[in-house]
Amino acid sequence: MTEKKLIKKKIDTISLMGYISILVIILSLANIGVRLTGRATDAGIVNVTIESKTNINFIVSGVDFGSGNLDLGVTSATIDTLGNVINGNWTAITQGFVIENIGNENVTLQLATGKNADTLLGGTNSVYQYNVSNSEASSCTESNVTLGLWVDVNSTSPGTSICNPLNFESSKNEIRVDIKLTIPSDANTGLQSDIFTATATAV
Amino acid sequence: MAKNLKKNKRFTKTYLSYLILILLVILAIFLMINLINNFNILEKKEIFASFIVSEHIGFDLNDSALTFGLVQPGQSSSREISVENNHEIPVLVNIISKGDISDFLIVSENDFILKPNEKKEISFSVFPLKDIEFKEYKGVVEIILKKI
Repeated sequence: MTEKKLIKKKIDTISLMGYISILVIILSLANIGVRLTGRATDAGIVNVTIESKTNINFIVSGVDFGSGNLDLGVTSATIDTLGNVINGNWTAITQGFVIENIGNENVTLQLATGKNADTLLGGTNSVYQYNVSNSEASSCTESNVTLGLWVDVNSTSPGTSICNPLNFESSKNEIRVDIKLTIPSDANTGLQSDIFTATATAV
Repeated sequence: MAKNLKKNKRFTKTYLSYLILILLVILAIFLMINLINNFNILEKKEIFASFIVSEHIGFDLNDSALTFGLVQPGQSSSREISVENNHEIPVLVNIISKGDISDFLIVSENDFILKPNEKKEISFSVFPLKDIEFKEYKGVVEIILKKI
């Protein structure tokens, strides 16, 4: 094969690559164009629905009682997030959980725990309770609990309905959940924690 | 001198032609990959997603977006969506997230097949870390349906 033919063949190959590249580019751009104009590939359509329900998990150790001991000679100590420490040396805390409805519709609110008094604290006559109150007036219409009273936690999913509804309107959409523990002298030792699950469902 | 100049000019022309050709080939390859990737896509849905890191806990049951509300650092919030295949063929559902919410978002199931008329509930959860900055984290969740 002469040098001239070799060069011609090389040029032909290069030209061919160029033509193919241009063809691919045109086809790709045409495809994008077709898609942008809304080509229907089949008659079906997917339905995507966002459920009107949500769960938020929060950990009781987030309300940090820290470490502490029972006073000498007592059978139990009681601590809560309202600042009370009875028969023990825990640091008093005054911060419970604040739950807000920041959406634009009323919701029902259920509260469940992962553990009960026996599984969280153990021992004899341990107590694990919560107390729901309006942080902003008229936020929660009480359901299966009475606002402001201590009730035993419910570890059976989805928990206890506490507000029906919890309002969404600004300045009346906020409640507070306080925690109380009565720790007997024969309770479990070490760091104990639990997970609260608050489930909101649109009314 | 003139001969050299002509030679240089021809060399530059050839060099430029090769460069343009290489660029064309690269562009073609890129578009081809994109074309192949998109060829099987039947449908794509985009859903806005957000959560706000706060000292409080809060709900936002917006039904047009995946709004997880107020979440404390170290805690979590979940929402569900249902995906129903109304196509006459089975589809592969691929879920991806974009934006700064992506680092904290977990989906219960991904890359699954839905038969015609089959419906599946998918759970999305955000897990802000304990040392996360207090602010709003936003992004987009894309639900992509592909032909199998």
